[in-house]
Amino acid sequence: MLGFLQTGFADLTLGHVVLICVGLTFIYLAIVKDFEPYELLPIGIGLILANLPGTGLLVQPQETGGEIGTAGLLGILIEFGLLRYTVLPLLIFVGLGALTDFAPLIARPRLFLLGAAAQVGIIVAFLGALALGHFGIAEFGLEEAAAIAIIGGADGPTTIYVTSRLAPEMMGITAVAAYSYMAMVAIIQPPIIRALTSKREREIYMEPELRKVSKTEEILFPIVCLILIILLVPRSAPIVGMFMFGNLLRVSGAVERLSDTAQNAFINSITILLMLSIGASMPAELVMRPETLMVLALGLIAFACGTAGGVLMGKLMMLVSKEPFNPMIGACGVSAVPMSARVVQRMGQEANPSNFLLMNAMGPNVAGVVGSAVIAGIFLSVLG
Amino acid sequence: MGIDWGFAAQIGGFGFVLVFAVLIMLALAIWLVGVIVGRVAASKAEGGQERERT
Repeated sequence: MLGFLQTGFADLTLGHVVLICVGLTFIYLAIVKDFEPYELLPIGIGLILANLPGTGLLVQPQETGGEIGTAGLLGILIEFGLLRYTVLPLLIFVGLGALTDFAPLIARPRLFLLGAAAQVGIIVAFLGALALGHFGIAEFGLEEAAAIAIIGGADGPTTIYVTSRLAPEMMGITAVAAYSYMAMVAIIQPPIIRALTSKREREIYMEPELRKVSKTEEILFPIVCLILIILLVPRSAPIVGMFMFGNLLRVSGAVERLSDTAQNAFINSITILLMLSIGASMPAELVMRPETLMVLALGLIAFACGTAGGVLMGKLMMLVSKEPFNPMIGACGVSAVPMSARVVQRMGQEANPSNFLLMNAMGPNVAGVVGSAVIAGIFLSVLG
Repeated sequence: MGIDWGFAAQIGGFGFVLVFAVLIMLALAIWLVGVIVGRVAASKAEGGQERERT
């Protein structure tokens, strides 16, 4: 009698059920465990919506042949926000720039070196992914390898942007990997830092007060970075341009309302749309493959190697520095702002209760964001 | 899958070197800006003090 009412049960597969459970887990982690809640909660809902069959929510406008009213809401967001124009991950950089305080890096520009060294994780994962492709274990080419490797930058929006340009079918899983590892910084980084540093090195006291940065320096920083980076790596322009624009809104002091909007309403609105789209980019057909586990493993390797690269550069800087230099702050070069700085702060205090490394750790932390934007530009220049 | 390892190594090696080069240049540029801004501020402060004295 109710034949006209088509339920979703008939089309529900095991893959759908598994991913719905993953979505529920994300929601649990966001609400109960406070793991990256602003990202994992909308991603979880997007994931559930994408895997409930028969909704039509994922139908993209390009699939409808121009027929009006047939595209689904999430399909529209994915096509226009991520795949065709890629505006959502870029707009989020305006808000991130407005939220970022570069003063610790301006006070000690040499900390840029730590942000550069930590990018080694991206290169290791890039070559690792290619090796899996080479030996026929996975179907990873250069584009896929670059998209996976960028997870090591521990920068969600950069990962989303690069993947959407180079390997759009992997977008959902690389984004989730990036945000998950960012949420797990406190678990992943400490053993690596401990393995690479001695107790005496971890105890090294660094002056917590950095020199006072003038307003002029703060204003010139985003302008100098924007022009110099884009001249050197033009394809980083979308990321660096929006990031530095957002930061200029913050430091200029002339546009308080715009700065406030970028830091709150704007970034929150874009986060809702972006994370919902990311969750919806993971239907079972795309995710339930062995490659997904390899992506997660390679992302973890990238993150771990990035941490190690930063710490080793920190040890080198410790040897040549005239002032006391705690090598642990190198771990923050992977970005993951501000979680990795907090991890180093906590470890620093555990080793030496008089130590307060947070401000020193924030320098490499924001340098890592710039570093991953540069390497994203390099990947896009060569492969995009 | 056939991988062009020479090209891949170029991307990896050149990419890593370029990141270092770009960030070192940025560090130098930011340090230079700091020095110039500091000197300008110091000379302004000196000028102001002299004016006050005269």
